[in-house]
Formats: sequence, structure tokens, C-alpha cells
Amino acid sequence: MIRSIYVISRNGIPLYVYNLDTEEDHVTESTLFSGVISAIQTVLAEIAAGQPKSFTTSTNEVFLEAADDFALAIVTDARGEKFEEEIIKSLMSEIITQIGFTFSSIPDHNLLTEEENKQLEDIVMKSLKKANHRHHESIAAKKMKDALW
Amino acid sequence: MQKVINGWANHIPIAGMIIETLVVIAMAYLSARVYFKYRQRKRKSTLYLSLTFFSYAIGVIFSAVFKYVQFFSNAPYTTINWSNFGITIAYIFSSISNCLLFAFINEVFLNWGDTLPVSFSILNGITIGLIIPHVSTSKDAYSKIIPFVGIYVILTLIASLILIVLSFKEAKKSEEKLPKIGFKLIGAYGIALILVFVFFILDAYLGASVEIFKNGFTVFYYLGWITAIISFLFGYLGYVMPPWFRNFLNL
Repeated sequence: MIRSIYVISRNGIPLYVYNLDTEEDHVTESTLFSGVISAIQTVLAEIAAGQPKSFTTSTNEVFLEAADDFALAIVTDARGEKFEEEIIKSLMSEIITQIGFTFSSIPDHNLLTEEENKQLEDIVMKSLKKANHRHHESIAAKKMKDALW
Repeated sequence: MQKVINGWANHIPIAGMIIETLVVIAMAYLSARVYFKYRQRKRKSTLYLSLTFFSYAIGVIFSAVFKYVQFFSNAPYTTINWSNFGITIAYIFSSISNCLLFAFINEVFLNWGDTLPVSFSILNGITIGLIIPHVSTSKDAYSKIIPFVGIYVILTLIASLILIVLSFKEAKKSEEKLPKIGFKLIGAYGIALILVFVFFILDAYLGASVEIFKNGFTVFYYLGWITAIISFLFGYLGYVMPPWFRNFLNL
């Protein structure tokens, strides 16, 4: 299950955060997480170790993708029902493409207008809905899509 | 060639030859389209389905070609019955396609390993083994295989019913438009397939038991083949999903 999606600026500031648990306040956690992700990416780039693509903790699996002026992180539950990696990758690719189409540039700081925030939310939520559909569709539908449709 | 009277020659109606030719064209087209999909995707299920339609097509080709042979033959049908020869061979190929259809169902829906498709193939193999000794041009060749055709029909019903139930179940479960429509069409294909045999059974029953239909080729014979063409349409739209159909439905 996808727990959260982070769109992070080049400076490590969360531009948009989707959290499955809407009840809880995640502001501090999100800010810290975005900073850590950004730091990991920067450090690994500095030592020429290459961009990290994913890492796993005891409870979560984190998938990362860096675009030109922002980064995307998707956190999935590592203990429950697993999301197929291929679906996660296509979700990331769709969000990055859609953001690229919608925004000419992404600011380094969280200075998005309310309208821009709404656009970002729409992109993430629409892509997530599509990914959830793919995840829940049956094996038969997947096989038919793969073999014939 | 025997004399043509009221569109019939040597116990074969021209209308029968025409409709079987149309079914041959439809089935050959469908099997070619599914085969092209197999060439692109290289999936086991696509191969099974392509071979299913290919076997059906070969069966119908035998049935149609030997109707032409009998129609144009100088030998009367009471001496050499080419039509019966073609029909018995058609049932052999239809039994082969039954096995392949079941393998397709297992691959896509059931995923129960090899035991079930192999057992189903053995039953069809037995049916083929029982039909083969009766492949001949004798006048009563078809009546001799009727009990084995019964077994074939039961096996076809089993495969088709499984396909119908599982397809509609999948259609109900799917939230996305594409699988919802696709599975419904595949289910409709299964229903049409069953109806084909229902009509052929009615045709054979009327031909054997009602005096005015003793020449066969009753209305149910034509309904059977018309339903086969309808099943082709459902199969084409449901399995192949041509681009124009996707665009039409915004899939």
C-alpha cells in the first residue's frame, strides 16, 4: 500500500505531500523526511555513488526519482500487501511527466501559489488513483492486457 | 456434376455452402489477428487462443470444402458422401480447439497448473480416437459418430460455461472500462459458442426425427452458422480489441 508521496524541491523542502493517514499532523515528519531524502541524494551525488533509486526500512520501502528541478519519493508499506515495483515506477514516471507538462519550472523554495498547489495535488491524486486501479485489478485482467489488449 | 434443383445439388444447398464459406473467412481472419498479437507479445495464452481459432478454422474449412466437393461431384451422395467426410474431420479439429481453449482459460483465469488442462485434453483425445475410425465417405458416417459428438458437445459446454462464468465475474470485479467491456464480450463469445451447438443439435434432431426435415439443413443449421459468425464478432472485439473499437468506446 502506498503510504505517502513527496514532491520535494531541490533544496529539500516538501512542495506537496500526500499522506494516507489524513488524521495525523505530518508537517514536522514531512519536512524532516524531505530534508533527509534531499541530503541522501546530495551526499551520494557528491561522492559520485550515483542516484539512489530505493531503500528499505523495517516498516517501509522508499522509492526515489530525481527530475531536473525536483525529486519524488514514494513510501510504501513493507509489511502488508506489496505494490508491484513496475506500478510504482510507472506512477513516478507519470507524476514527473505531468509536473513537467504543467509547470515551466519548480521553485527551490515552497513558493507555489494556491492554484499551483491545487494543480500539483490533482496530478498526484489522479496518478495515484490510476496506480491503485492497476494494483487492484485482477490477475486475469493483467494477463489479458499483457497478452491481447 | 448433379443437376441443381431449387438451389440444391447432390443433397447440398448452395445457401449452406455460402454460409460456411463466410464462417471460414471469419474464423481464418480471427485466428490470423490473434496470431499477429502472439507475434508481438509472445505470450503463452495468446498462442493457445490463436491455435484455438486456427483449429476451428481448419475444421470449418474441411466442412465447407467437402460440401463444395459433394455439390460438384458426379457421384451421388448415397454412394460417396463427401459432406459427412468433411463433418467428421471438422469435429476432430473442433475437439483439438476445445483442448486449446481450455488451456487458454487455465492460463488466464484458473492458474491451476497442468493437471486440469491435461485431463481435459485426454478426454478430448479419447473423443477424437472414437471419431477417427468413422472418418469415411459412407452415407451413414455422420450418424455413426453422433454419440461421440455428444461427448464433444458436453466437453465444449464445460469449457464454454467456465469461460462465461469467469469472464462475467471478472467484468463485474473490474473497475476499469477496458477489462469490463473486454470480459463481457468474451463471456458473450462463450454464450454464442454454446448456442452454435444447441442449434446444430436441434438441426440434427429434426433431420433425424421429422419427415419434412429429412434432408437436413433445417433453419437451425443456418441459425447455428449465423451464431458462429456472431461469436466471431464477439471474439474479435473481446479478444483482439481493434483500435477503431477502442477509439469508439474511448478505451
